[in-house]
Amino acid sequence: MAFNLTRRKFLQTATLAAASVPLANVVTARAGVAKSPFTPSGTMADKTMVGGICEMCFWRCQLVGKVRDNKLMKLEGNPKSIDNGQSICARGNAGVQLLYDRDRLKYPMKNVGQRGAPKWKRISWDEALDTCAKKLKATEQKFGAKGICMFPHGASAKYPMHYLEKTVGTPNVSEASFYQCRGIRDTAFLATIGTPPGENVDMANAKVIFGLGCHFGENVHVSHVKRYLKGLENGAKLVIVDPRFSASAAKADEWVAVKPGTDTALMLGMMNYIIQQGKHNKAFIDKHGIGFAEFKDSIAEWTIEKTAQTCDVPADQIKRVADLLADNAPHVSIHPGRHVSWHGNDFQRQRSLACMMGLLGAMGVKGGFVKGKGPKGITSVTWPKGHDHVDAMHVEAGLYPFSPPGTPTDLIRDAAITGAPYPIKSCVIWGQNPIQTIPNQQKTIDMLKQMDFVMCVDVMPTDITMYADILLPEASYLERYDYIKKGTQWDLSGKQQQYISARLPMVMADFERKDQVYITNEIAKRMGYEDKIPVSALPEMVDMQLSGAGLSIAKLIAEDGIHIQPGKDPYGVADDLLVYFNNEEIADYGYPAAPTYIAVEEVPAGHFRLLYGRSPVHTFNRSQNNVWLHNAMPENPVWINDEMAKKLNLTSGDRVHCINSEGVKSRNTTIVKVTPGIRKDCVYMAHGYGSMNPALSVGAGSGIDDQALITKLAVDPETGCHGMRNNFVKLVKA
Amino acid sequence: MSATQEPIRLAEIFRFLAQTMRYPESSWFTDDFLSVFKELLVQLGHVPQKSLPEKITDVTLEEIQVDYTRLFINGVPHVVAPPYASIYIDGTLNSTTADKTREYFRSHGFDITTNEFPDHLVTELDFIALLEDEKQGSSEEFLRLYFRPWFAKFRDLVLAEAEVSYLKTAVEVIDFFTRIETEADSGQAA
Repeated sequence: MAFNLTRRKFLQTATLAAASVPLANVVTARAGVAKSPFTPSGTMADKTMVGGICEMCFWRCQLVGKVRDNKLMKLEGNPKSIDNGQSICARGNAGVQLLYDRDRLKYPMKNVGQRGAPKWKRISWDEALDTCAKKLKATEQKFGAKGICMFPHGASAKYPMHYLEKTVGTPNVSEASFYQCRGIRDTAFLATIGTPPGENVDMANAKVIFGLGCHFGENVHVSHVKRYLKGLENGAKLVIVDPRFSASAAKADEWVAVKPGTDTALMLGMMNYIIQQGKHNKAFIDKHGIGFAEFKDSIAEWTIEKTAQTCDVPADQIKRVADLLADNAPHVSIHPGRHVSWHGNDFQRQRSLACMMGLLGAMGVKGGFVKGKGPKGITSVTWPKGHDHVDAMHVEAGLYPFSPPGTPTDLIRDAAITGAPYPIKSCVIWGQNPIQTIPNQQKTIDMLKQMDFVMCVDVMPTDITMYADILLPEASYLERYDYIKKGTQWDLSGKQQQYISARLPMVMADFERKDQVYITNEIAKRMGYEDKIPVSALPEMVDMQLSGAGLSIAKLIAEDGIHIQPGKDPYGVADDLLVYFNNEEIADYGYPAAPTYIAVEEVPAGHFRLLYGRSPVHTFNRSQNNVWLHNAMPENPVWINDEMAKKLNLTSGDRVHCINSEGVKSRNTTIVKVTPGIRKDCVYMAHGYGSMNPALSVGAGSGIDDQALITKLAVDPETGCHGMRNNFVKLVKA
Repeated sequence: MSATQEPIRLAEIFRFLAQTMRYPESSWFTDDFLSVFKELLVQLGHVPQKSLPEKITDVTLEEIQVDYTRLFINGVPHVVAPPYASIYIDGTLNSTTADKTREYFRSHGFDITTNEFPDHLVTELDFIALLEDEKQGSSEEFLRLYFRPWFAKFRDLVLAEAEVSYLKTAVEVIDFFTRIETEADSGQAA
């Protein structure tokens, strides 16, 4: 279109006399700019905002933000922190980029296209909330509360999760942090030592640190890594059991390149050897052990020779490691791990780690398993229980007696797809990307496609948001109040102190992003649950939580974001501590009472077992579009043993596809990293790459999505959690 | 109802142009709005029937909303033309260009009033309207230094990718009113 006149000419001659109304009458919006006091250039000083709590990962370091003009310029560790101190990791620093990511969700949107092939239309919050409430209510009325399922993740998902679980009453909630991560660890330790362990080993004061699949340094949690490095600095010996020469293995005194899946056998072999050598902690076991004799008999078959053969580890090394642990007991950190959903035999392996702690008496002592004594008094604020409650499917069916909270993921997916034992027709996804966290992506997609309604709440587009009917933009962790972080100083042997902090916003939320309390309350009102709403706004919730400890948001701000008070000596063993080497309750449910090795499927000829792990600059799949982090590690090279690479004519830098044993080909390619630092029977890549959502400008299609290749399902029989390392791939040059 | 016979003020035009690029909603995207827009096109020597819908219906409104969302908010595979100067100048959102833009607003006694970024197309058009309100022609420096360097790239993307003609037309009219005119241009065309 060309306008054949000048602006001056137009203004001299034009009128809009023929229009139905004057021009000014159709301009209805308030201008985005207005008169303001004159502000000379350079007068906007930096302001330090206190009370930030990171959520680039879930360790949640304490932050301060340098803010200019409601714009976050830089994040740093809070100098007052006795947890992470002034240190934050690369991801923590890159939170600034998440905040201003050009692809971030800005407004509520409705999908006027198809699930999986969306066509978005911006809608008002009222329309979005009305639609969500109407659809969820329709499902509730037709199928009962259990017709709604939820996949939550992160601090902001807790409030809506409790609304749906407690007040509305659906048991069909599945958190990836449990069912695809650490749930097995927690319930296995509960069944062995009576408490979930967290990562509470006193590595800073240990004589030996023992990690099974732990790759500290690649999995960066700041205060945790500080403990680990302090231990090494103090001369601790390091044992890393891992098929791969990880960042931790590179620092280890012993790198045990175990055959994947046989870790439990290794633990049993070492424990049997320690007992046979008479090096176990008899006094500790006499006082605290339950079923030690049965346990001893049960593992007697695990001779060094059998263990060596099963695990493909030299017998001498098994003895050396076992001696190292026993000779330095009890000051030994047996790390409980974090992401432990590996092979579908994981409850037994986690039990064996807890038993090793007991065998060495490595509990309550310097260097051992020690929980810091944190502050008390935080008030719980949650939704009240409603009327419509049914037991979860696994409880009804007598399955998975040691499952973590919620419902095992596959029971929800199967019920949704088959309609049995009952239909599940609405799905709420909050801060989680089930397509990249749950194995067998097609099954997740099938589940979503049969839903009457799917809503997603997130800060970024992800794979799963492509399947939403309504997509809601959430305020990020830098723009809202919520999480209460409390604990002790990171070095348990240091000056005993406790801290309490709460997440405070660094900047106001831009665009139309809203927080979880607003969104949940508005949906609850529209679903007829207004009288059950526990708080009207997030700051009110945080103040209520803090009030139990005599604190408030105002007091925390006055104390630079962190309240510090005297702590208590964490060392010592409670008289009533019991270590269930043999647990008859487990046997009552039909599972082995003593830790037992259950073999996993062997690698088929011509394939490699696919192993995955963490990158130090990415968190799961949440950070793949962050341009700073992407720049640091834009794709996830696939590690392959040098001898195997030679046979396949692969060299470092070659670009490959992966094809799994079920014929699924990776959507994207990645580069090969040829190294002697990995066993011949497996390949390895960092998790969380290669999103299928093209709305991610830099993340989409960068690297290979390992989860897309994990199609063969393994479910841990005691817990219902997934095992995700039983899939096998070939590498094919692209 | 008959509209005013008064000559059009440039400030009013910019306010109107800002309105054209807001998210279309039934509260303001009406037949009256369309009537003004069509008459503006006529005065520009253009046949509006080729560029604007005849009437606003739910269907036409939704078509424009969907295309607006795809072009400017959240598109598949990508947002086609993010309406922010920073994206075109610095490659990221809310970057130095946004800071400098706000600084310019402030140095002229203005500031933003919404939680939209200062370098958003609509915010800049609102600002230009306010400058023109104060003194005709006073927006030229802003247009030259801040607006045109990115708008031309934005315009090309919208013209190439927009599916509904309304948005293309709006961008072309904005282009006309923000183009830097030299004395020679004025002389020739006059």
